[in-house]
Amino acid sequence: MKKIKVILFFIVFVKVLLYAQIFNIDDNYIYDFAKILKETDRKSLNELLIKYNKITGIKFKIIIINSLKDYTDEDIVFENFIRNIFNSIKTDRQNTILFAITIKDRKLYYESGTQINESLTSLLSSIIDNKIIPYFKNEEYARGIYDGVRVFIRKTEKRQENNIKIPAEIFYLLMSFLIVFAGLFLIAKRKKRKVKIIEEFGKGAFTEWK
Amino acid sequence: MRLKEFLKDEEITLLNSTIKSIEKRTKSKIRIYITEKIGRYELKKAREIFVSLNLRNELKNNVIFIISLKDKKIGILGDDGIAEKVNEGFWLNTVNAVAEKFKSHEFAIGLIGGINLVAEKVIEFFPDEKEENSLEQIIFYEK
Repeated sequence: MKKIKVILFFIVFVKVLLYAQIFNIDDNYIYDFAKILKETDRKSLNELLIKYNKITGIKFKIIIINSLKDYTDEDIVFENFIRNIFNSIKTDRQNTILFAITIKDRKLYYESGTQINESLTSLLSSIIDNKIIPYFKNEEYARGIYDGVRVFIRKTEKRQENNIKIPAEIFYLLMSFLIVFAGLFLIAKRKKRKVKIIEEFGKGAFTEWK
Repeated sequence: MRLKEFLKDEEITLLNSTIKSIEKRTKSKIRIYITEKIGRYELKKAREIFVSLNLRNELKNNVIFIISLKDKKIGILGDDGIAEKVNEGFWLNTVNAVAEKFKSHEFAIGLIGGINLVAEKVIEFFPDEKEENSLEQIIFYEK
């Protein structure tokens, strides 16, 4: 009975932990504080990035702000500011590409997690130079971001398909089911054993000969 | 003491022939099981052993003696068929008689005494007449 209680506690505890992870799923990939993207474009791009994450396991997060001065009077380094925002986003940083823009300050920043292949970072750099910046120079920010990200996704999706990683939430869900089934199996086995032990027949006696 | 050292070869032979000669006169089987440790729930464990040796039958008339070396326990278990024919105190009286001999390390003599007490009952309540000796194994050791 004590063992069953321990098993049940373990199952409940792990389930709670895993669900806690699952409920932390962040489906928001675009933080457009400058409001330069049309809502329909933002949603469509976000959908693309969700799909991209499901296929490749990579999270492509975009932060767009107008100007650092909207947030702080201090002479803060742009990279540090973006990193602070990045730190406040719940995400698996190792699999994340962060792309940040300040419109008025005309600054761009990108950072790749440790598990992101270097070739992807180079590709992103080339897309920024050749696709995004020319649009930005014409002050077509929304189009630059929209087209740039779509090109990046298109060019890398197939490359990453061969290297599919199970998304964390699916992994946790599968693990959760596995643990529950293992727990139920153990309990069922225990019950079966118990029935065998409980089955009483015959009479007898034991004594010691010490 | 190792399980197989508990009884000497000649004692094993004596026990085998005693039980086989009894079984020619009864439908019951008497078996001996020697284990390292039986633990706290002796009767439950005894039932498990009884079942594992396929001693349950339609007549429910088989009997097993169980010797546990580490806890120095001697036990007996009879199936329902024989249990309903003998009085309540029979089982305890039998093991007590065996244990008395065990105290002076007369293991085979103690067992033969207990087996004969059981034999009286099984021959009375489940009589049979066979000409040939059974070839079945009589003494079992825990694996």
